Amino acid sequence: MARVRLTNLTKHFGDVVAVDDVTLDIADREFLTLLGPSGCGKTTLLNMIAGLESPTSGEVWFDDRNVTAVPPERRDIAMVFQTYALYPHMSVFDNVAFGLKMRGVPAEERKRLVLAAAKTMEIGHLLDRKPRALSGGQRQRVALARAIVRDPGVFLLDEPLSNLDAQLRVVMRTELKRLHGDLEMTFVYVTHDQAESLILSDRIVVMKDGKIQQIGTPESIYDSPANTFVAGFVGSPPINLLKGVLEQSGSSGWRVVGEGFACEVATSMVERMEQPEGREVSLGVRAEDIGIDEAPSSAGPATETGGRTGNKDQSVGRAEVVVREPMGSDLYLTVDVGGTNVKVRTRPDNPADRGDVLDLFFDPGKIHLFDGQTGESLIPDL
Amino acid sequence: MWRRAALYIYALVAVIYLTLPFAWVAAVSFMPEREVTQQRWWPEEPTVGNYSLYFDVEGRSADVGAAIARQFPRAIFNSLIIGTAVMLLNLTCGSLAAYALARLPFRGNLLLLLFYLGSRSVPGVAIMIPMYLLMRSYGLLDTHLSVILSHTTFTLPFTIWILKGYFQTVPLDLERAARVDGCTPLGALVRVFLPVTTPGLVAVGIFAFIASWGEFLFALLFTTTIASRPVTVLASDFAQELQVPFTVIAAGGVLVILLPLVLSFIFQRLIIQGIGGSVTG
Ligand SMILES: Nc1ncnc2c1ncn2[C@@H]1O[C@H](COP(=O)(O)OP(=O)(O)O)[C@@H](O)[C@H]1O
Ligand SMILES: [Mg+2]
Repeated sequence: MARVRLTNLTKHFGDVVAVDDVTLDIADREFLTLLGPSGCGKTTLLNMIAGLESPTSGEVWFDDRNVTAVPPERRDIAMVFQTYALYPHMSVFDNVAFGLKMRGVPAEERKRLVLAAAKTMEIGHLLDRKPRALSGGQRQRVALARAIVRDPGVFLLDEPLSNLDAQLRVVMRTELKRLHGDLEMTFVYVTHDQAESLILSDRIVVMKDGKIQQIGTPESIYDSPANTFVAGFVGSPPINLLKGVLEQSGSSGWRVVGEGFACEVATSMVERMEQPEGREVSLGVRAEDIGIDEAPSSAGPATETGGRTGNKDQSVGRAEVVVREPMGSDLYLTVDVGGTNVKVRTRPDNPADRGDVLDLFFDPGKIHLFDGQTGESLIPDL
Repeated sequence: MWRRAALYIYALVAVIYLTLPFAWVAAVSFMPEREVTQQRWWPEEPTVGNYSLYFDVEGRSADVGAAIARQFPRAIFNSLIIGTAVMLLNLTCGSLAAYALARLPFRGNLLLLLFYLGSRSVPGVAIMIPMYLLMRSYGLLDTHLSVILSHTTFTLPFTIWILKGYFQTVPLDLERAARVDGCTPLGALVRVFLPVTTPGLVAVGIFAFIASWGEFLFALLFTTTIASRPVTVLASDFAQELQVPFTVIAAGGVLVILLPLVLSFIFQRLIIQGIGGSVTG
């Protein structure tokens, strides 16, 4: 059990700034995910928490203990590596028992704990094998068993699922969530898979180029991304971003006008801006927040589609379908809005197909405005 | 099809080229003396008589070359001592140096390695005299230690070079896992890294041993009596005595070759793994 605090943590490798001034407070027993693209410094940050890498500057605190200079063997941590890093010359039993042995746990107690951990991870039948005789999923379970057997305060996981095939990944994801529920440990989890982070985390830290972009619950990251990077990285398919400029519409309203579209925006989004008129913005809207009407060919009353909430006179523009992608429960249409591809999620029975021209409706409560230059969110409630 | 055949023929030629001299020495060692003069390839009437001189413990034989042959067991023992010590020195010093070069980034890393290798390219003859003077001033002449030290100087660079490459194939995460599991840096080295790299260590160990076993120049220079003379030097004494039968010399040659040969065969899988392969978790 431990609370982990990082203060102004920075790591340079020569000229490369791998981690840049990270300050973070991880609550006891929290499931915190470091999310970001490859090379953004996630592993380096995790290694600094583990003590495997010493920071260039900044401090690491476990509860009230400054552990910045404490070597990994004397921090109360366990770690699961991306490559599993099982000891190839030891049996599964010895792999799991190794950490206990190093900490002087007597043999009998060791055996009891290993068997318990093996039971949790369902690897009891594999204990005599060598790692090379295991499948990827089994290795993963052994790596997890080796980590949980010591009952550490902080549990660090570096992309533990990235080497598994898609099906197994889903299974192990559920397993991890269960594990976090059962064990009273702080989890720091590294991944580049945004879906994983949304499913598992209490809080997500989105990173890019060594810097924290946003910290928040999965909901807040998804619903109120701090910038275009976060908006584009979290969510599948990625958020649609349309370039445009703000202009006054009518007496008091505002809208964003760009190539092939014009979208009303709530006055509340604009009122605190200096000089909104003519300001360049990126308008972000997710596939599920776009409504379409039925294909033009079909007459009769319009059926409710997708997240559509408005009616025809709120149409932001007409767009031609360029790709139709059925996904079972959903149908994704890619439409061309003034040269930009926009993904729309709709019901699978929608007949619209390549070449059809559709009216688009953006859910006004779900659109995001970002500064056209910096990409920072212009929505004030952050 | 033809390419395959050509490949096999090429391999066959290479094997014959490499083994023929040894095979012939082995064949001669089983020939009666007169068959050698007939330039035979294969003993017509095989005999082990040529070997009897070497195991003539009572020392009764008065045949030509018997005095030298009688000293063979002791010389082989000397070679064993020297070779084993060279191997151990290579493994301890070599693995630590290679580990540092492979894992700890420090300035001049590459330069140091090039220096090691550069020292290897200096011909032994060039440093013979200074080495001799050094050994003499430390009173090491005609001791095992003098030969051990000199052999280590020329085997160690190669050992470090091979081990560094091999060590770099060990995933860094393996040691990190060991650290997180509670090992000190040295503990991670001893308990995880070295066991995992055993094939590489065995390979360079055997190489060092064989190199030492076959070395002649320094051994000749530093040793004078059977107290320290290794078997290569002793065998060369045959050349100084006139009319030692060629068959007897051949038998001595076989005895000299035997141990390295057996070692290579026993450890061949590990050697191939260690030199050509890599460690995979
Ligand atoms: N030991 C190292 N030496 C030099 N550069 C490194 C080292 N480790 C990481 N880096 C660099 O630091 C940056 C962050 O790496 P990393 O933390 O591994 O990213 P991530 O885990 O997010 O993919 C990368 O640019 C990487 O090349
Ligand atoms: Mg990484």
